[in-house]
Amino acid sequence: MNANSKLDVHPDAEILNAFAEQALEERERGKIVAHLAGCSRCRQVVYLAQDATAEMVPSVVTPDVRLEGRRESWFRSWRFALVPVAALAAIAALAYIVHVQRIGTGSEMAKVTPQAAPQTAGSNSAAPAQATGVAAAPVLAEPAQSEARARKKAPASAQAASLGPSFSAAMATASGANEPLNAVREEAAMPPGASGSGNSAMGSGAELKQAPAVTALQKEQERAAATAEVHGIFAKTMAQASENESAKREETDRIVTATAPQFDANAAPPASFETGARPGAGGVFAVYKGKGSELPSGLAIVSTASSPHQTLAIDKAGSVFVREDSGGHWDRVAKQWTGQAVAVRMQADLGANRSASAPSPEAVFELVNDLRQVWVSTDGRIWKAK
Amino acid sequence: MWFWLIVFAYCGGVGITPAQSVDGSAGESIAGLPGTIDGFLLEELWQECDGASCGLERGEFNEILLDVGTVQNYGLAEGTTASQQQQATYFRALKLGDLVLARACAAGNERAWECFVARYRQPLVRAAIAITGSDTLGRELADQLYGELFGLSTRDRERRCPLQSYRGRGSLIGWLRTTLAQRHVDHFRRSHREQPLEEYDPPVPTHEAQKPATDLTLLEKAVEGALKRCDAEERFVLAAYYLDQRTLLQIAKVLNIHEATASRKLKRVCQDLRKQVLKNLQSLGLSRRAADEALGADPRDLDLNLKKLLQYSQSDAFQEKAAP
Repeated sequence: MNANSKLDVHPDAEILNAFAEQALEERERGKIVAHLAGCSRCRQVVYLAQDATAEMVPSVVTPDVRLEGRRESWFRSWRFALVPVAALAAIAALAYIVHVQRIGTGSEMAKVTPQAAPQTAGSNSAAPAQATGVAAAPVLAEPAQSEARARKKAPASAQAASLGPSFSAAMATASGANEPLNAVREEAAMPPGASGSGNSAMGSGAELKQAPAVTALQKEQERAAATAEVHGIFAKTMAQASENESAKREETDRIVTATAPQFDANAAPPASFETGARPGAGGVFAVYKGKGSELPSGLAIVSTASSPHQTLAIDKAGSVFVREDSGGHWDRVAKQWTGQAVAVRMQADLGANRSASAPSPEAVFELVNDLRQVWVSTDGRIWKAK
Repeated sequence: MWFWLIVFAYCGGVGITPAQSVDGSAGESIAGLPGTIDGFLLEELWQECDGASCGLERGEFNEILLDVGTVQNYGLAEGTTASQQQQATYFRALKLGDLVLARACAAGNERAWECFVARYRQPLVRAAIAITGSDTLGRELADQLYGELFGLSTRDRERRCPLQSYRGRGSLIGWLRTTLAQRHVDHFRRSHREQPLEEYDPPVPTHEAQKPATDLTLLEKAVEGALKRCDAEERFVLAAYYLDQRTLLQIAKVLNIHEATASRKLKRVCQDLRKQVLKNLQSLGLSRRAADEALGADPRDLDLNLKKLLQYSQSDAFQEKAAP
């Protein structure tokens, strides 16, 4: 202790330094604090020493200590950031998983060729699924193996099992079907050449069988089934039949739709109507989206037809919508027909008998009601009875 | 087999398990012999401090440890005999590397001085500049201390080195900074009142101070009594904040507490002081209302020297040691 100041005694540099470095025991520390409370000189010494410490911390420590301090300071400076970083990483991982799942489900869509044969012999007592199966039987005879494989994989139901993998005869007739048909099946896309095969509207399965495109279609179906099997993708098919207002009608057009994820490698992106991307295809394409509807009514699409510039769609309630562009804006078409609209299509001779050099004729849409009466329109908005 | 069972049974009977370390049980009760340090401990400390790099020998190292331990009684109260465990705890808490270097320098070891200059010469200058706030004054202060450390000053024809007083409880660079701060503060306190005579303007004698009213006298007594009741840490906070104009952060650093804690402590001290002053005023005969009014007096009217009051109320811990 020094005794050379105003106060009788001051703690020496050893004690003050140990106090400043928190190296004193509580007993000694209390004494120093008590002294500092009344000794401005020692307080000044402590303050100055601390200020000097703060100014020269980086250069004072020895190399070993510096390394240790650097590690510690790095951890201290970042440890509070680790929590939000971890949270962000978890959120990003979750978002990625959700995104992947959405991509997986979003790619499931159906392409249906609504070339259904007018089945007149159906009875009211026949089950809808059976009727559909009969209608599709001529076409589905050959790809039996792929169909069987698809049946094994598809979410089983009796109706689904009765349906074939192909939807070349997508619009099949069924009698006495008042409830919607929900069927799961493997889907086969119609190749561009086969879609405009010159069949008349609502052509029968026999006609389709004789058409040159049928062979190509069957091959395509087999390839589709194989692809679906290889990729482990279960094709899901949903069939919905439009409800007939009158249960007494003997025949009801049924729209069979299907979904097939990642089926056609040449197809357009699966989120929209592929037929619109193939202006020269002609024919009738019924497209059904397995999940949800983008129509203003919010109901499911049961039939659709596309020209190079327009797309028509019918929802489950029979309302007709038209879209001028490739965007998502639909306009409701005023009802100018009797009964309930169940199908739209384009006139079959479009594109089929048209040469490549010939000028593009004006697109003609046809609308079929539940009484199988047909209306025609060139712009999709004004309809005249055919 | 039976032998070991008997041994285990015996150990269990006497309260010693085979896994129990010697340091934790027997070492507690074995008092260290005065003037000796356990050989194993000495070897361990010698390996730790790397005294050979400073040109120190084992015998010198042993003497240094004995000197430091004896002077401070191994950190224990006077009259207490330290056990081997307490000795080991005390020595392990020391900055042995710095202690060895300082003592070797004090002894004039050339290798130690080379090491000291390499490590601390520049930090010493920077610390002095930081303390004085001036490059010139800082270098001057550092050179002065460096000369003292080198042993240029003698007393009774004996070379004196301040490093001899370093005992390793804190870091050597901290000790150097504190020593520099002490020199600077002492120099400032000695010289800050010096001013040229021609600039000295004696203050005009003021008129006779107005005699303080009775209430003010009571207030002074009440404040004095309230301050005396404060403990050491509270008085330190008051002095550091109101007298030294230190920030809460600086106070918190000194007390090794958080800044917010220092703020709460200061607020609580002020509230307690106010309550205590009111209480003292009431005990001196004032009513509650009169005591409140007395607290509203202008502090400049009070004849109170808070600095003296805080000094007066300090503990006599160091005055006890001032005698020798």
